[in-house]
Amino acid sequence: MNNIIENALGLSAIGIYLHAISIALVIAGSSIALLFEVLSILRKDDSYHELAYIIMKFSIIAFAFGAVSGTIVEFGLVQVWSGFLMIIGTYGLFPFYIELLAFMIEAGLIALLIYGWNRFKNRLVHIALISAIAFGSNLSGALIMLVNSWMNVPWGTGELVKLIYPWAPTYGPDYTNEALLLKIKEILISEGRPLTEILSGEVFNRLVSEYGPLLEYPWAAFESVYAWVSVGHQLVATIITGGSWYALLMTVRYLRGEKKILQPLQDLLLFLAVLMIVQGVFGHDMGVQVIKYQPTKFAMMAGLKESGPDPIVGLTTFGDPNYVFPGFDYFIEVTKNSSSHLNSSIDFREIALRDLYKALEYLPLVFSLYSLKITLAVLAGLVSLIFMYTWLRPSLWIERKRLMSYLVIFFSLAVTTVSSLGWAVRELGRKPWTVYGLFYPEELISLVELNPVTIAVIIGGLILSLSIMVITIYLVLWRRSRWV
Amino acid sequence: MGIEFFIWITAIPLLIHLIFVHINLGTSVSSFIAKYVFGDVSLARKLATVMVSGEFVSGTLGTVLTVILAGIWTPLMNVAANILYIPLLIALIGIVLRLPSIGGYWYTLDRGGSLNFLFGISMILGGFLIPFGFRYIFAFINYPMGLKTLNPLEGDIFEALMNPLFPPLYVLTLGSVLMVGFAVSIPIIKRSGYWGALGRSFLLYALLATLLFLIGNIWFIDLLSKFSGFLFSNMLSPTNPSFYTFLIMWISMVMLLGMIVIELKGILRVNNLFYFIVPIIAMLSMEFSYGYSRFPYFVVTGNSGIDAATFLNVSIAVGFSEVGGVFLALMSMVVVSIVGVYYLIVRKYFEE
Repeated sequence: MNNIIENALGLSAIGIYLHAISIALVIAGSSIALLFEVLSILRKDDSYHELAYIIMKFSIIAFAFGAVSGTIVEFGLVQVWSGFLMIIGTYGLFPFYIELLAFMIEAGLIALLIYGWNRFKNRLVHIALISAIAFGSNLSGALIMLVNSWMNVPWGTGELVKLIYPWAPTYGPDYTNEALLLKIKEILISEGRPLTEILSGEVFNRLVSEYGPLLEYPWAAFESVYAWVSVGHQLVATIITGGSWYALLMTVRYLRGEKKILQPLQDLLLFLAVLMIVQGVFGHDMGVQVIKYQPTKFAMMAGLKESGPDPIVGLTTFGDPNYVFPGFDYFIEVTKNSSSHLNSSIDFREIALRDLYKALEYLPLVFSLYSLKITLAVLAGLVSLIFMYTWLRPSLWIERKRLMSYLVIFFSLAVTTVSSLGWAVRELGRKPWTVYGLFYPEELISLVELNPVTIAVIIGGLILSLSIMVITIYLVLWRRSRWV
Repeated sequence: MGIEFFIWITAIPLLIHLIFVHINLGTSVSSFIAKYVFGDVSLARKLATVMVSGEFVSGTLGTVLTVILAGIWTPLMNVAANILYIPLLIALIGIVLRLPSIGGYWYTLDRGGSLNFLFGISMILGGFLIPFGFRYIFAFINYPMGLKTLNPLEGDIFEALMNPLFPPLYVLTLGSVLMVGFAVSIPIIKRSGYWGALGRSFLLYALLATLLFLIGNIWFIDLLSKFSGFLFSNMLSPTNPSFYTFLIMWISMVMLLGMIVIELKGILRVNNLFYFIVPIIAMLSMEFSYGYSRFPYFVVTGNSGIDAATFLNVSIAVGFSEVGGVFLALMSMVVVSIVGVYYLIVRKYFEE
């Protein structure tokens, strides 16, 4: 069973990473195209307008292939983790439902933009359309992040998690039917079966008619501060990462002799550098939220097997470098000394202790990944300061052309790695749970065992669609095919 | 909130989705034939434009449907994800093959070579694998073969593949896809100034596809009478609305056959609009009849069934205005997409 879970988790991780490539191109593409379209008016320079069109084409191709990889990931999710359907059907329903609206805004307006690019003479119409597409793509990303954030911080479950894990915080108002969720949890633990077995029809319906609906307020996921900070942090990271890829392509064009691309390239790099500063603020806020709502994850990130200070975080968060953060020793002690308030035949204290030891196993990995991430982020931040300087002193790009190109390459590689590591820390840090403090991966897995055919279809499909996306972008944009 | 509301907010996007799925699957075959049977690349490109645009709308609506099914009909999706694991995987293979192949086919269309042929075959094969997977769901809800118990969920994923209703349903689907695809291609061929042997051939293809649709219907109805008595008797009962849509299906099918024969015989030229409207009405009324006649059940088990409410997500306390509001906004965007696509096809590619 453990192998199946590990494989399924690995498969989901690969799927999400591959899908993320097209997401970054779409979200960053529409945002950068908007920037260039605005600059084309401010600077009265048509080359920005032409560049905005090329970037929108990138974005549209990536959107089309993102829809393919998204479908594969979506089906993979439902087929491999069918217990996840309960999350889609409750806390995730409205975020996903409104995400559809965002997706439709993107899809509908993209068609209109292709039709109208050469017909709409007024640049303000272009700006309005690209703004709406950028809004749609960012909103779409934001709403998916809301669901992922709920899995990290199950907002609206009140003190439920605290009842099982005494070190846990309160997760917002109590919108959840505590008795029903505990009953489901009891069934899952005592019978050792996945959620999907009891989710179909009568058993679940009988439980609901006995205990009432599971969720009283379907907008619960929208009220979480943790979620909105995650949204900001993730969207800025996505724009920086995708934007750095566009900057890399523009640098190649510049090195190949397209002199007129230099000014837009510098503007883009300045934009990314400003976003790096904004990301510093979001990163700090994200850290504060993790300390507050995911104590075990923070202990993993800071390497706190034993409670102790983390001078930088202590100083920036509490103004005290000697502030002592709770480590796993504290969580274990609190759990051992607690007395369960739950009226259940199951020994939840034993389960809570077992989970802590499982989480502790992830500490070395999460700590290493997080340390590497922060180091690279700091280096990328320093490079972005150079980009700011070169915007003020553009001649450096002419005098030190090669050096500047290497810096763009480094920046792009660094921010891409930082984003990938950040996502890994986010996902591994909530282990051993899939929904923090509530559900384990083995409770959400499908009845049908993961098999090589499924793995081959999902991974093969993603690699195929991604490869064709890259080839299409190359053929259509690099070689300027007449058909797009 | 009544169960009917949830059924309608699923049915409306499903029916729109089906219209565009039929158009894009069918025109992909037409485009391939135009190039490889008649060697007409320009016509193949025009038909491929219709296909790509149709794919765009049907793809986005497919995503809408997946979320509606997962969020509103959660228990049903849970059954399908587990018991119909293999068909869903087949559909996924179809999507994986189909969508990238469309890009490849489009790009290599005027460059010739065996690569375009391979992309075309993969595009068509992938396209028809998608309904091959999804039609198992429809066969399953008419006759839940493979399901042992719902309580707790248990089933046999291999037995589910043996559903006797699947073969006629798939033949019916092939017929309706080709019928719509060829019929919709005819006005495009006419408007493009092509006629003669090519036009007559497409009329003949449309005729054969309509006959396949007819045979599929008869075969399916015959098996419904044996395996899904409730659905069968509802469809033939004048007190049930599906009886009338069923009648409309037969009328439009006969009308389409008549139109094609009249045009083939050269008696008169049929207005282009009819080639769009009549096959789509036949397809929609077929889908509506087979879908609506299972109400109030969602899964029919012979002469009885499992109530639709069993498969409704009841774990959330949700208001009509909330679900309805988002749904209306969604459908508005669907209209914007369709209008955008219409302008793309008709204005950008056909009138310039």
